[in-house]
Amino acid sequence: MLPSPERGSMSRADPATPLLQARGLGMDFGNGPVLDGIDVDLRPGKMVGLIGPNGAGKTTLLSLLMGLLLASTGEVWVAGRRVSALSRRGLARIMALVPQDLEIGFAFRVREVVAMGRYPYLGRFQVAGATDLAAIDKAMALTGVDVLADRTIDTLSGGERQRVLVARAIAQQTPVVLLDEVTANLDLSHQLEVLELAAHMAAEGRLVVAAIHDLTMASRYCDRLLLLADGRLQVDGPGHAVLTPAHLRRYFGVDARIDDAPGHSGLIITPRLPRTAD
Amino acid sequence: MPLTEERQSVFLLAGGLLLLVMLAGVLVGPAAISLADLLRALVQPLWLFGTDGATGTAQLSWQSVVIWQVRLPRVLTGAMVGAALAVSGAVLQGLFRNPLASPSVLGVASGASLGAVLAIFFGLAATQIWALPLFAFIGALLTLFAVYGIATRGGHTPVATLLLAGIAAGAFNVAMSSFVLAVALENWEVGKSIVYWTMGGLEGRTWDHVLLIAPFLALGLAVAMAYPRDLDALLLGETQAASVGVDVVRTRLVLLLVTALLTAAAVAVAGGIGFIGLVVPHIVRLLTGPHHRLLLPLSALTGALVLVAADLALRMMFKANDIPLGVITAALGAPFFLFLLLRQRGLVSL
Repeated sequence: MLPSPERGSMSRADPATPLLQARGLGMDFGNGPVLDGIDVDLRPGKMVGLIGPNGAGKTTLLSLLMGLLLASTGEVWVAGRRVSALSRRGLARIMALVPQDLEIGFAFRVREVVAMGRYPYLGRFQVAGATDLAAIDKAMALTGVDVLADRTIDTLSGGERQRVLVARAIAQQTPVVLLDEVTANLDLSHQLEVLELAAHMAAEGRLVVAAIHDLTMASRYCDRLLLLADGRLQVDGPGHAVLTPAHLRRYFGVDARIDDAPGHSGLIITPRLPRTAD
Repeated sequence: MPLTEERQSVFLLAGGLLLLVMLAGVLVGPAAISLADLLRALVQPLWLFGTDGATGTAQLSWQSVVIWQVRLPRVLTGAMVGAALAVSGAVLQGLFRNPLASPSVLGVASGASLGAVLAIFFGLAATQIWALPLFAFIGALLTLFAVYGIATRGGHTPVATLLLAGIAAGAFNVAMSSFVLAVALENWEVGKSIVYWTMGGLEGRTWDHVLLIAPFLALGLAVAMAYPRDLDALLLGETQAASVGVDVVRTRLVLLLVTALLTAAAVAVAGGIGFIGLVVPHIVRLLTGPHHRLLLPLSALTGALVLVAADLALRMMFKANDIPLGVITAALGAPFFLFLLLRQRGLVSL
């Protein structure tokens, strides 16, 4: 059963049952497995960080979760349904994506980009109604892009553009939001803004899954971390359990000092390259 | 989003200009026709009397005959060919996220030409009215999917590869057309009709041509107008479009079929007329922004306007000898295309 397929409210999300599940998930593009045997249960109301070195399979996993790729083995379930059995439109009412810094070379206005979040709810010839406009307004106000409403997207800075894309995901009103390296090209204040918004979405009851490189930020904002390396889910747990010197040494190839951060629940990770034997 | 007054006025302007140019297209020509003649002709439509019935023609003034048999079909065919090519270009540019895509640049138009040339060569076009457009459609479609397939690797379609594949396919299509023509020249009648047809233009177009292109234009436009949101979302990339619920594969398939249909219909009635599909959507985008809900219908209007105006200008400048219409659209469109290329390169290197 779809969670309120009409308008996608999160009110019925039950924190006890997994919203997004992968079972035996594997992907092989023809040169050996990129992902292998991934099993996870993700519950609503949480922000889950997807970490791992480059080439670990994070992007592939996100694509499989979104149903953009067809898994070689295993299956993804969302809200009790197979992702492969849902239409793109049905999926877009359950899952939204905030992409990595996206260059948009076309002069859409900010409001129009946010309004794209309502496409999954509109028929081919249907005009956006009051509910849609309200969702768009609310998302723009929440992300602070309402002041940019009439600017064109190609004139915005990277941080502004990223907030617009977060606003679009919020307007989509899905129980699941995927973030793909959304802070990769942002300066510190914009990273914090976007991650605070992500945490806010999780606090509202959504499931937020964020692929993220910055381990300090990951430990600070995520309730749970999935460490992916060599195409396998190596460690799964809260930040303190996942981000240990041993794991960083083994999967990231760095020696790291890990301290409790003063003032918040995260960790401060100070990596350095390992000294080689000879 | 409702149409703002500003946008309404753009539509009114384009529509008004189109009507004016079409009016001029009917009035201007070797035989002088006045507005009064036109009004008189419009209230005594030729088809009610039959085109060859002696009684019918006897009741009509020669001006009415010229208007109904020569000028009106020519202007209407031109308008619809321009609209079909411009919409086709606008859709392709949206699908490929690139303002340099167009039916002629991607080799689709020459594919349609090759199909049509084959239909003439095998004598099918002379006996079956649907043979030429059908072959043109098949040629356009095969070329489109070949170019797209060659340029796509792992779900990505790099623009440079796409343009190169289009150029290669276009060259192949032109070479094959020349080959067929060379073989056909042994039979002068067939060869002549191929040459005559290949040059393109609106000379001697009849109601048959109007009736041939009209349903394809209506169908193509109707289908394309069902996809403005999908095209808008695709401008942000395929993953982005998919994430807001666009079925990218299906949308692309449907819209590629639409562009092949529109291009083939245009080529079938007017031969090779280049650059309308490239230039018109680009100009319109400067006025309306990238939204396809405005871009597609306004491209149709503007494409019609530009082609009828080009045909009119041609008739006024070169009264005696007929210069093919494709020559003037290419002569004006090619420099514009170069300008776009250079501008885009300039932006990239900055």
